[in-house]
Amino acid sequence: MPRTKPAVPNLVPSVLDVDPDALIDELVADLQDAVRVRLRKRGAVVGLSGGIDSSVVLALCARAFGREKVLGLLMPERDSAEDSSGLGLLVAESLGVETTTEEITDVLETLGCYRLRDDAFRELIPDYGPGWKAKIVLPPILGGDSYRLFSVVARSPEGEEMRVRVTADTYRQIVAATNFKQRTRKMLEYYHADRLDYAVAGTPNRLEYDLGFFVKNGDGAADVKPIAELYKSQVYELGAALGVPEEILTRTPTTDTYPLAQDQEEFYFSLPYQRMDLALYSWTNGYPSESLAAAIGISPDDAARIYADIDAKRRIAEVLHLPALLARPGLGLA
Amino acid sequence: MLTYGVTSVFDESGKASRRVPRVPWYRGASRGGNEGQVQVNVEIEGEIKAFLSRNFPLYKAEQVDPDQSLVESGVIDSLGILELVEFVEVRFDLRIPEDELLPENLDSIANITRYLAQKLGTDGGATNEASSS
Repeated sequence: MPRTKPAVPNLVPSVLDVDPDALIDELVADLQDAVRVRLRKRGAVVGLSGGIDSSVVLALCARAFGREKVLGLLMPERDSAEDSSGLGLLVAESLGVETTTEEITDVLETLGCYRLRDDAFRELIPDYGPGWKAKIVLPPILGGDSYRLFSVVARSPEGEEMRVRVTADTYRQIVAATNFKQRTRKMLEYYHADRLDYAVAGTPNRLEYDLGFFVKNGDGAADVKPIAELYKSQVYELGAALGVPEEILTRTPTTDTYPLAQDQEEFYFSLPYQRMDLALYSWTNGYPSESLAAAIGISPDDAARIYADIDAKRRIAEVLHLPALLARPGLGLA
Repeated sequence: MLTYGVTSVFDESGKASRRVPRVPWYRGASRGGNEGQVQVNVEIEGEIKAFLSRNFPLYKAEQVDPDQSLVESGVIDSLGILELVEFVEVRFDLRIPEDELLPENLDSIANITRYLAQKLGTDGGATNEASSS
């Protein structure tokens, strides 16, 4: 996406304000056109995590196709937070949408997801074993120029916590093994979509879509992505207008991926979503980093670091969004 | 590949193994005077370039200026920084403290060479004075 000159000179948080009812009407109309006309499908499957994004997508789909033409899919596994399935069920019940639960722990076990991930944890922490929990974290982005290298934070069964810098090989193995989760879920979403002649509705918001916070051919795969152009704070605004239950509206965004609870800020975005929204808006619309600094009350150096971080994440996202490349484009079509 | 009389710490693909050099070749390398110091810096720079060439497809030795930012030019990403740190720590038998993981020490071939020369004491006397602000 090209960066353009800012439309208004002063960056203020209210630039992200939306008229939720009007936006919902537009998104519902777009969804109907995308799924029924362009994709020629009868309804939609939505994977439910208990978070705000999938809840809003489910509610939009229910409005667009009718609650009887939507399936909510719950796919918990060993490391899922205890409240994830309950919150997913809660939003589906509030909308009157049918749900199916697919427990994926056995599939993941067979694939080696947990074993391969834990082998990598053990390379860093030799004692890592049954009863231990771990997650991957990044240092804060504000306040220093140091390179931000991923670390594993692990907690022993006795409650002792430790932090170890990862190696590139162990990081890749942990992420590769963990990605089985998102890809297994997507496989099941397509199973149900195929049998029902539905489309798969993806749930990335703009932060995730633009900054590459998704797994290729996992949660990054879908037939339609209704909220991919909405900033996270706008998704919350829509959620409130759509009647998403309060428990979901007030829940901290998590990755729900690692044994130790991990929020999205510490793993990827480095800022609370409200600030990250404005940072991405500012970057996308050509504001200098000093404007961001003034708008969210941080130093110009910190704002410059955030811009550099967005540059780096955008480079990663561009590659993730590429379709399969043809070695000889156009061959045979002349 | 330069091995400086020690067992290579790289496998056939050029990937760093966990072993470290048994004899830190660079210790006391400045005893050869200014000429020796320049030579060691050239060798450090050569090692860094060879590492980049082996591991990062976008690195083209003839196109990357020694002062160019490796991150901003897209040659390496955050995981690449991690690999670079691992390489440096294993190859040169040192540990880079968290407060020295700075762009001014690691973001260009020139910065890395200067930083390592200081850390290893091969810059004619200055030791461990790499930026840590």
